[in-house]
Order: sequence, then C-alpha cells, then structure tokens
Amino acid sequence: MSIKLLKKEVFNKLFDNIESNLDKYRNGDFNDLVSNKSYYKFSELNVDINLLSNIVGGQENDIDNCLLMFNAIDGLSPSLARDKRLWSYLTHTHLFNYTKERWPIPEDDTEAIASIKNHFFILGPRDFERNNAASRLWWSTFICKRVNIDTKKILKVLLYRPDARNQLIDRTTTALSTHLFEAILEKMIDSYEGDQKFLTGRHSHNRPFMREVNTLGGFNLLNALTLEQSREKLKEIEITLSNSNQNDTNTIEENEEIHISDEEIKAYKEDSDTIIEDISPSSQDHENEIVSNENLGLRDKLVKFAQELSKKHPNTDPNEKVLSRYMLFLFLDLKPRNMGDFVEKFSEDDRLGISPDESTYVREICKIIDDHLDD
Amino acid sequence: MRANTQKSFPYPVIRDSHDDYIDETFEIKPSFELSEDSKNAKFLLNYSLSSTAIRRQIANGNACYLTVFSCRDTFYHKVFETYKASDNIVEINVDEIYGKLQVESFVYIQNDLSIESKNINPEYLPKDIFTDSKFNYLAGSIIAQSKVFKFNFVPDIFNFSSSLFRLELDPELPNGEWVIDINQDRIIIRAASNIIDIERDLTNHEKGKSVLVNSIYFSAVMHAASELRETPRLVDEVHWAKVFEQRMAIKKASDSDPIYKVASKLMDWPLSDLESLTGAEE
Repeated sequence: MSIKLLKKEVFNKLFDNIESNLDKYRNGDFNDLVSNKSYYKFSELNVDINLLSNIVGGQENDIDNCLLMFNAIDGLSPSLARDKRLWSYLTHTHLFNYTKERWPIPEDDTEAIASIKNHFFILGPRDFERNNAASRLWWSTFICKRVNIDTKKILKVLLYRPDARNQLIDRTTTALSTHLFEAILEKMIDSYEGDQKFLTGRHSHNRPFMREVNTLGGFNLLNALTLEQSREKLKEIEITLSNSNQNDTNTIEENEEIHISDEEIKAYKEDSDTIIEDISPSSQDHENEIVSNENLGLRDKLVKFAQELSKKHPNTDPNEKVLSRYMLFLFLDLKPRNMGDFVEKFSEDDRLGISPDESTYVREICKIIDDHLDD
Repeated sequence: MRANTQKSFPYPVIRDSHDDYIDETFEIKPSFELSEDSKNAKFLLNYSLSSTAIRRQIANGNACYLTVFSCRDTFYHKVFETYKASDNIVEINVDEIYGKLQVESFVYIQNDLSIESKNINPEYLPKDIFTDSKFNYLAGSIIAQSKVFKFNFVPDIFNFSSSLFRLELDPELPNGEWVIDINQDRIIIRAASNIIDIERDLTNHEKGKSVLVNSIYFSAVMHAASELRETPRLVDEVHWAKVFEQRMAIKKASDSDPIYKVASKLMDWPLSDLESLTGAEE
C-alpha cells in the first residue's frame, strides 16, 4: 500500500474537533478517513500493512513495535518522517486501536483531550520522538540506526528510563554529534547491564554527568571528536564527578527516586521560609486513608493529589512524575501560586523533566498551593 | 558548539563579536544550489581567513578549516574538514533535512601548536614587555569561528517546494528593498540586509512563516507566474517554471485567471494562514 498523508485541511479539522469527536475516539473509529479520500498518496513509498497490524500492546512491547514500525515503512526519508500528517493518518487509521491500547483515553474529558493531542497528533518538534504513538516508534529506531551498535540493544536502554533518554536526545550537541552520541549510548548500555545507576539515578548520576557534557561542549568542538576521543572525554568527566562526589556526601539517592525524609524537609525549612510546621505524617504509605481536607497540611494535600495522579497515570516513569518525591519537595519549598511563578522558580531541567501527560497538572498543583496559602 | 557572543574562551579566538585578535577576521558565506532533480543541495564553501600565522599552520597540517552541517529535526550531522580555503563543495541529500540546516565553520587545531602574532590582544598576554606575542593551543581547540548560517528546508512552507526559492543578501540594496531574479533554476530573491534579518526572525517564529508566505513569497510567486504567462518557453529553460506548470495543472489554475488568483491557487490560498496571528494577540 502506498504511504498516505492527511490533507492539510482534514488534519486541521481533526485537530480542531477533538472535543466533538471524543465519542469517536472512545467508542468509534475514523475509518471514514480511509474511505473518503482524505489523504494524499505518496506513491514512491510503500507501507507494509501486515507489519503495522502486528503493532499491539503496551510499554512492554515498545521495542518490538519500534522495529515493526521501522520495517513497515522501509526507506522512509527523515524529511518525510517530519510530516505530522503522515503520523496522524496512521494513529487515526491503522494504528488507532494500538494508540488507544498504549495510551488509554482518560475518562475525564479535559484529560482525554490533552492525551489525544499528545498521542494522536504532534504539537511540538520533540513530540515526533516522544509522544505521538506512531512516530515515536519510527524515530526511536531511526536514532538508534545512526550508530554501530545493535539496534535492539540500544532501544532496550533508551526506552528503559524516559528521563535518561530525554537527557541524551533533547540536548542538541549530544544528540547530533554522532560519535559522542554513540559513546554515551555505550555508557548507558554498560549501566543497564551493570548497576543501572547512570540510568536510574536522575539527580545523583545522570543529570550531573550530562550537565558536564554540556559544559564540555561550551569550549570544545564535540562535533569533531572521533569515537575514541569521545570515550576519553566521557571518562574524564566520570573522574571529575567521582572526585567531586567524594567531597559531597549530601546527595542521597537510590534508584528511581530521591528519598527525602520528613526530618530533611523540616531541616530544610529551618533554612528557608517554608511553611511546613504543622504537616502531618506522610499519607503516602496509607493509600486508602481518608483524611478530611480541614486537617490536611499543604504537604498532605499534595501527597493526596499525587496519589490520585498515580491512579490516573500508573505508567508514568517515577522520575517524570509531576509530584515525585523530589518535585514534591520543590513545590513545598518554592510554593508557586500560578504558572508564572512555576516558570520563574523552577529550573528548566526540572520543568522539562515532567512527563507531558502529567505536566498538565502543574496548574492544579499551583492552585492547591494558592488556596492553601489563602486559607 | 553553540555560537554565543557572550562566551569567553580561555584562549584568543578570532570571531566577529570579540577582539581577541585585533583586526583579524574569519569569514565564510556558504551558498548552495539544488541539483536538477532537487534531491541534492550542493554547498560551496570559501573560507576567508586574514591571519597569516594561522594560515601557515593550516598549510602545515596542524590546523584545518572545519564546517559542521546539522539539522536538529532529522538528527542530520556532517563534519567537513579541509586544508583548502576555496572551492570546497559539500553535497547533502535534501531528503535527510527538514527545517533548519545549520552551518557552522571553524578553524580547528589538530596538533598542539603555538601561534605567534602581533595581533593577539595584549590582554591575553602576561603584562611583561619582554613577553613574546605568542599563545599555545591544544589539539581539539578552535582558533577561529565564523557566523552561523541557517538554511531552511521546509518543503511545505507554501505547499509546494520552498526549495524553488532562494533568498540572498544583496549588500548594495538599500534597507527595505528586494528584487526577484527568475532567470535561474530557482527563483532568486535578492534582498537588503534588514530584509534578510526579518526573514530569519520570522522563519524562527512559528507564526512568522505565514507572514512570510503572504508577503515576500506571495509577491515572488505572482511575479514568476506573470513572467511565465508572458514567456511560456521558460518551461523549457528553468526548473521553477516546470514546477509552476505542473502545479497549475494540479490546482486547475487557468491562463484566463487573473495573476493574483493563480498565485493564490498555487499557494493554497495562503491568506487563511494568517488566522494563526489573530490567535497570537489574544
């Protein structure tokens, strides 16, 4: 079958009418897109429908699905793969059921619209690789094919922890400098097969390391490094960080989350103006506990909200949760009361580290804080 | 490496924004042509480096001219190295590019070396009148950095190949003025420097594209369509005319249509794209 792209006006109409099409997304289909010639045919390229039909399942099938997608459109050029109409055609037709299976449409209409925008469409340039259900499979594989390492092996590592992946892919210098990119991938594979700290230790290992790489790129022409030189540079960074870690034992982090005790938060409070004097013990360990709103301190209000989010988004990477322990700590400390506050007070790293599905809740969190401070 | 005019290197570097080397310059104005089938962009690179001391090191193989082509949207990355100052040609398959292709050029140190030049800014040198005007560089450093150039490869900027057009700086044109040349395979728009700046800013702005499409490019399409109507043999002579003819057939634009209508049909009635701007003001 020839590859197809939605006509521009059809694409725009679909995007503008998500709300009125919600029932179709939930209970129907968009087969009319196939039948009523809502697309342009691109006859130079073929799609293997059989391979596409094998794309099924959830996160656990991501690696196989990536390879199926890449092989289904053999010879697709990166230029054409940057056309969002191609991917939206697939998510609304051949991959409609897969997209809903991979990212179930939330019951709440507002959340459903946000989720559909994220996974059926492409909103920004990074969504090709991150969020659109179809394009992310193709682009993830394409990125892996640029280097001389077994594609399946890299996919396994890249898809293991979204935050570590984003730290690599979203940094222009590392993403584009092919040899440096390959050297970092080698490090990620070593970590995956070893203690996994580089992949799971977001604040203790991964981000500090990637920041150093960024700094290195400030004065060095990383693009020109050979693979061997790139490996050497990374080793130098490892040594520098290892030396500085020996002098700084304050970071306590194990695997996926930063563990911040109540004592630490209290201690932190003494150095700042954080109003957490009257917080009750964390309710995080008592998921079913019902506590009246009147008695909740800000912290517990946020923890309760975090629990609701966990139920709605059980598959979010722990490092990317909008109210992970680390982010909770920041929200309590910085107390943004609106989006402007949030943007101003939170670092770009922390803001971009939130999963797109959960970033929509920042506004609600700010409102919880605002209401609490008004009380 | 991101070009940042605020950045200070720990060693003197020739660049526009700084006087690490006094009265020394490093310039390159990359230009490209598309192949007949529009599949390849052929870049011509001529490096112009004023420093004799550094040129000598390049001739000796201790440093080289280096240009990095990169496209963030498609992860395209190509590094071109040469010891030759002029007539360097680099071909790029346009299927590998989408959006902005960034072209950055440097003089890159390949072996540790010393540069002795009276033009090194004395602020870099020890305050000792007997000190040589000399600086040591390590392999891997850059010693000169040119302006960054960005070329747009967005195929559907006006729903038919934007590669049909090329915007070029004409330094002799007074601000605000621009001219169209239809006698080449691409439609060349030569513009004053402020127009080039405006085009770059608008291209970098998501909603700016619709302004470009409805201003300079719409006028260019009208002009070219008018020329094609006057001189039909252009179809046998220049590539853009072939594309216009084909596109006019697809879009059912006839010779009896007024030219503004032909241009609108060719560009899919682009005025509607300006709707996005009214949204921006809300």
